[in-house]
Amino acid sequence: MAIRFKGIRLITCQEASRLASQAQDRPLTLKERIGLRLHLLICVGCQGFTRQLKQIRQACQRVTNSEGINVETEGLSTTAKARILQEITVKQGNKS
Amino acid sequence: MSKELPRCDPAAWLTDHGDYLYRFALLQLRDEAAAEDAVQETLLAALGAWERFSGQSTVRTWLTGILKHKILDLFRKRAKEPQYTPLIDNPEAELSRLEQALFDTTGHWAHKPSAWNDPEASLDQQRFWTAFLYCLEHLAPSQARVFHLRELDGLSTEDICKELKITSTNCWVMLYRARLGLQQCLEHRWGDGHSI
Repeated sequence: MAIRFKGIRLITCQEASRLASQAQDRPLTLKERIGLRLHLLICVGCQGFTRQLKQIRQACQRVTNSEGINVETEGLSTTAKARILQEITVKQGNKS
Repeated sequence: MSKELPRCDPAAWLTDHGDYLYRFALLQLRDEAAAEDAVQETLLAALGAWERFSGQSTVRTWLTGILKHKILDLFRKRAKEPQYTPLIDNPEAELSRLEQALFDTTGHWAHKPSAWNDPEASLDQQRFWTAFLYCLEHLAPSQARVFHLRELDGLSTEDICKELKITSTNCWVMLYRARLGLQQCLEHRWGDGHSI
């Protein structure tokens, strides 16, 4: 059952959430933008989802900016570090 | 006067940034040995290219940029090997299976997305990052690749399509599928649904 608003068929949450995701990857068409905007005006669930998408993107940016990645997870092992350091020293030796 | 450039000190790069680079590589490569190799290659390449470091970014950002290229190269190589065929043929069908679980028959959320605490304002940021990294690591490989390229490596969808030889529609569908997967996972581990 489609919900109507002044004769216009409003898009469903399923359609809106898909558009909200695509808005992060491509410019939406005017029709899509209006559809999404109208839907978001009346839908708390999709407002929440849109906010979550933004939070996910921000978190990814912070992973790449290295803030978020320094938690708990294991780093390089001591052996790996030693091996890499040795490779570096060899290369430096070749250079000079 | 121009800012003084940091010294070329690869041993310090390893100490200061090695763990970070390794974790960044591991997130995408999901293979410890491959991630170690990628870090090593990155540092060696950086040593060779040090003259080109302009000092406009931090050393870490510069090293991460090199690492991203190494990861891309590795995936290109992997794509030619028969055991790595991570991309699914019909992402739309896979998405629609998930949508059936998340939305009711009228297209409304079966469970409304909750309002997440802002991890930055929150007192337990640690718990957020643990949840977030867990969810990122547990994305299905087929979705993870596209999502990493877009959100961690910062490629445009056009570039992703070229890289993975997929259509832009499939790319959008796969990104959406990945985001829904992450959203669901975080809903459990960070949002209202968490049960710690």
